[in-house]
Amino acid sequence: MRQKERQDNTPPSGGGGETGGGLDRLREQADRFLAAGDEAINRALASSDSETFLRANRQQGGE
Amino acid sequence: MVRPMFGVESEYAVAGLAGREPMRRDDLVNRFVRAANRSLAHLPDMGSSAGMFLENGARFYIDCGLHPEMTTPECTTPWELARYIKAGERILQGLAEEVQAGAGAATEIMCFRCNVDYSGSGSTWGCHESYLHRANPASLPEQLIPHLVTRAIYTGAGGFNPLVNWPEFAVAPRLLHIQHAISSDSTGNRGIFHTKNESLSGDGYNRLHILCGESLCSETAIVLKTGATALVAAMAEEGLRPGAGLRLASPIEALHAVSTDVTCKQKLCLAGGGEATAIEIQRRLLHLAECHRGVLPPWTDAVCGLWRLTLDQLEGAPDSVSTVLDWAIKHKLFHHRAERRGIPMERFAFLGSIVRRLNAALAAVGVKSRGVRLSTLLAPGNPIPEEMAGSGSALAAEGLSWDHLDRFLSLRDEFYQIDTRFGQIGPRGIFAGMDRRGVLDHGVPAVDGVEAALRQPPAAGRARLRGEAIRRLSGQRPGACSWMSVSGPDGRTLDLSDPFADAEVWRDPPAPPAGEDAPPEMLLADSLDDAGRLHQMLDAMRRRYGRSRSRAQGPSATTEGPNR
Repeated sequence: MRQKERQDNTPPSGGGGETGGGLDRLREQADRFLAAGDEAINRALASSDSETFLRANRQQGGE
Repeated sequence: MVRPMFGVESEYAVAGLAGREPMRRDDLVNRFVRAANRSLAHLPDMGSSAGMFLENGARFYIDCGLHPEMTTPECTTPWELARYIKAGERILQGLAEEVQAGAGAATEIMCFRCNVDYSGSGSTWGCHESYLHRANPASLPEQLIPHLVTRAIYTGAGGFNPLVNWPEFAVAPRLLHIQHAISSDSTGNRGIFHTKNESLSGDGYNRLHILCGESLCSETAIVLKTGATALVAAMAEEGLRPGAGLRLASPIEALHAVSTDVTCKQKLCLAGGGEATAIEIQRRLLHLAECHRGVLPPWTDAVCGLWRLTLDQLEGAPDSVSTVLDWAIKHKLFHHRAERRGIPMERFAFLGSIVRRLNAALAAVGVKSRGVRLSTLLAPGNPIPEEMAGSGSALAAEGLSWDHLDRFLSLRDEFYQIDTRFGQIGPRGIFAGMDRRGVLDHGVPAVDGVEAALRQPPAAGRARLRGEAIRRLSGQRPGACSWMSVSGPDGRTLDLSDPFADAEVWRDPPAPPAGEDAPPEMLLADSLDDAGRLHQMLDAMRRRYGRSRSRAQGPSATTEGPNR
């Protein structure tokens, strides 16, 4: 459930006392989250090696 | 009742990579400025030759570290502020796309919400908040510091401790750079409470300038950061003493504890005796706001609802914020990735302690640890044989080997890049990619209308007048803008010293003093190194004093625009 739909202070998902079906749903949500994270990370890392990337992004001053 | 008004200034990282070769930063930043001059309706910034004000009331400029900075227009609700932060990032994304088009496909132009630099420079990117108020500034540190320390449980950007050379997860990595409770400095020796009070408004107003925050992706986190802080500041202004009974024994120790505690349950020592967790302190502040909603802004109930929900989640079901708050999303991603690499994050602290031992031993024999590879230390003739033997035994006692340490260290740069790429602006950002897939719960309904906010200023206050004037005057010379005024081509000035002004009041230029031969008060030092600004200044002098422009023709004929 999106936060945008959760403004009525209903209890958040992920708490205790879940039924079997609820746990399955939570597992499925967690799997989708991690799969989406892996996909986004792999796409982001595809174009440059980390050492070169960090060198290119060096901050020269700031604040 | 307090009339809230606030804004945020964010420094963004930009980088260009052509294969393995980084673009020169000055070249890259110049391309951004040229793109902005070409494509954004604007007036030049009176106070900086490298800045401009935009038609949505915001300010865009290049900061001294050669990075772009975007400041939102003055806003009056937390979701309006979130909208203009997002709009500023969309504007920046548009500029990056324009620069990308000119750079060619072989070069990748990138723009990031960044907080800490993992290259070892020790630098940071700032995200500063400003809150208008009428309280006595001297009274504020005591009232605000407990909030500023403990709000990190929902305002933390997540990432890694930038002060060590191994991956140590932090809820709020940038706050680990802060070493003072109170300070007037913003570029070094920063404090939890910044004493700067440059109101940028007429008499009677003060500006609370907060620099212990971080750039965020989550709408919930942005709205809460601003909303809760504005409420605490408003309570201080109303004399409700939100800091009473919450004074921390050591604010810096507490800040660093909260910034690294993913449980949010570490006890913090109070100056008056006793202890409280960050969640408990935040609940006290929330309760005070709920009890005094009658004297607080009209959006108090909405913010308090989100505030309470988030504290409930952090306390009762921490996993549920892992799709909502920046730091918690990152923590879950890194936890998963580390597990898959065979080095669970629970082992990071121990492995980090081994790196710390090796660093100390290397330092004792005069060798800098940065750049020393583990393979060098494992080879015969290494400079710290006794420590290597001791650390090897310590690893074995934990069921680990040098191979585990090697894998742990090899994760470092990859994790640092992931953290930076998380906040990449545009479709390639990790947060943006996950949001597109619908797996995040961070959205706040009222943070809408971002597309319109690219060009439209906020509906209330001087930001609207500024934006409307800029739209009319953009491209006309001379013209310039500051937070407090707009000067038009006819020499008149739009007075914006009242932050809540709702109608344009243009003032005629003052008559020049008799016999006065000095130039008008303009920013000569800023202008001399910039031909466009010089041209603008000379035009203003000619208009005001009726002199021949002949001496000004040279520079004006050779410049592209006022912000080069």
